[in-house]
Amino acid sequence: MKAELMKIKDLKKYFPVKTGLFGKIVGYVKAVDGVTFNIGLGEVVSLVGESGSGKTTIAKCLLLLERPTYGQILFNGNDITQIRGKNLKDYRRNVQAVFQNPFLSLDPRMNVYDIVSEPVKHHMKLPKKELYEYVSKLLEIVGLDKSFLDKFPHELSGGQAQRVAIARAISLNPKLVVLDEPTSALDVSIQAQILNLLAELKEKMNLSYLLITHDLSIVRYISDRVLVIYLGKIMEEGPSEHIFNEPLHPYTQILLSSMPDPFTKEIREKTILRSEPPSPVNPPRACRFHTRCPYVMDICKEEEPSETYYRVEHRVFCWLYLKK
Amino acid sequence: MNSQPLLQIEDLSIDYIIIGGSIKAVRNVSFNICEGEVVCLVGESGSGKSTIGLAIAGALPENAIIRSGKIIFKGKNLLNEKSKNKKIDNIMIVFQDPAATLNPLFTVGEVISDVIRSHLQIRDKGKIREKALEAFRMVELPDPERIFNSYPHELSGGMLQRVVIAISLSTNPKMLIADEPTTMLDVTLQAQILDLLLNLKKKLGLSMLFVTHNLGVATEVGDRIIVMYGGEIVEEASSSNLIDNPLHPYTRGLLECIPRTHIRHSRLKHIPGTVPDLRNPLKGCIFSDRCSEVMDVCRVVKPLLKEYSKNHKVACHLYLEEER
Repeated sequence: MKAELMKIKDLKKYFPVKTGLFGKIVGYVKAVDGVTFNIGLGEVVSLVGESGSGKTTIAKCLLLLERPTYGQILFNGNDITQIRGKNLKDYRRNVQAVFQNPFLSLDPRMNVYDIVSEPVKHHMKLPKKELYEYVSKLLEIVGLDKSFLDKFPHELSGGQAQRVAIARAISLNPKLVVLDEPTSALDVSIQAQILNLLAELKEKMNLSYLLITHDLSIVRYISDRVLVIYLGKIMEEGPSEHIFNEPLHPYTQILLSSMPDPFTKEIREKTILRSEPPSPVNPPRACRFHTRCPYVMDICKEEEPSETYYRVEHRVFCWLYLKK
Repeated sequence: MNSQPLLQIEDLSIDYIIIGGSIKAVRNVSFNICEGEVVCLVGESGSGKSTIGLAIAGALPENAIIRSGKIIFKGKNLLNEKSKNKKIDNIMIVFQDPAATLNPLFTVGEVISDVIRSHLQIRDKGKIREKALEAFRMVELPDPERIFNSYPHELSGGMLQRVVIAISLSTNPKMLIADEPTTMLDVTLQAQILDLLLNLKKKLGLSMLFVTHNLGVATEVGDRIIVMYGGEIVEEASSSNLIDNPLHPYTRGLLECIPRTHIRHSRLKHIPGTVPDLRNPLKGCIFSDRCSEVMDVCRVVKPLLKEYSKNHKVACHLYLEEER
């Protein structure tokens, strides 16, 4: 077992739905509804699910871009959901993020030097010359040379811009980096370069990653543990190999069979979902997946399945595996 | 191929005029599509794949100039002055983002009615409605009556894409051009839409030109795959041939970029460098500055697309020499 870095306990985030002139609250979007998991030191944890499943909201809660409605987030044993001021600043230093589109996450009016040096200036008091050295070193680590320092984001290609975003994220030696679709905006050949860089940095700096992506081949390639999320709840969690080789939850099985893979020879028995995900404002009662599940039973519509450990570290929320 | 080609592209070259020059987006491209066949155009951004799709549909932007070539559909050259202004009922196009395709101020029903009225010359409102509902049923939309009266914002992404496909099919086209139709969708919805397109192909004998950057998707739907790089075709083969026996170094590179199970945690191979500058394309082979097996001849002489084996063409000096 790896040492725990973060413990997320029963995390909930509800967004109010308002109508009318006075913003009367008519309901809540239960974006995240009771999620519990851990992130180990130096571990890569992936969140997998359709859009609207709440994976990005979980990431935003960990980054404290959103304050959770309920639940605890323990970082090195301390709850961080309510911290402010200096503690918050310290926390930000340890948890950084890389987003999908570097051209949106980099300020177009700042050059590369300003972008990468900004967090360093803010957190560490370095003399000008040392700061310059520090920033050039960071660029070197992500595979860019000094000539990039004066360039502006619009002068960079997608891959180069994403490297700058990564340099900024690792500039303060964080413990955890949240990767929200880090390669979705890039071409395949560039995607491989960025994935290699991320894998390299993880080894070098002993980083933990929380990876959010819809591309399951990346998940399989890079992550140690996978969490499958559906409408704000965990459906299945387990080590990568188990999830990909022996998926338990019907939803996981369907997700995997939907993944186009050029290398599978045999015509796969494809289970295709016929419907679209229900609205998270009014999620189905009991098991949330029962409206689309091919193996639905009576009990699935009445009672929510509890956690079952199928084997060590591999848990699933499904009545099929609950022996009663 | 046994059947008569429905669409022939011969020596097509397209430039985009920009300030201070022109981008040679497509250069000397030739290929055929037979009746009832699905051909996939695969390539990274800037490879010219979408430009070809737009040219066939007659929807090129104003700054595009067709330098040379013919687009022959059912024996008629679509680029002739005479046929240029004629409406092409037989070729329809589906774009990546369905929400951007539909006018938010009109109901879906109004849009499809308009298309049916102008293309099929039907005046009777009842008949138009009947035809529209039939098209909605064909794409397996639930509750077509309700959808007919909905505005685009009331429908989800997957449903919108079905609506757009229904609009395209309402004019009984012979050929459908699908430009990244599933890129914006979740994997589960992607599987649904791909399944739908394949069913339609079987049911209606539709020919399709499928533009995508995803090789997994291409092998799933395509009978034949054309790999493009920097505005040129580098390889053309049946789907199985291309995956089992990729010839061109670029195709091999692309396949190696895709993360796979058994090489987990090892470094991914990647193609060094970035996509070429098409303002001044290289004199020799367009891939020569990124190719790992580059020879002297590659930098001087442009390799032509030659048949290597049955149903397998490649443009590379490596294979031209073997012949000699």
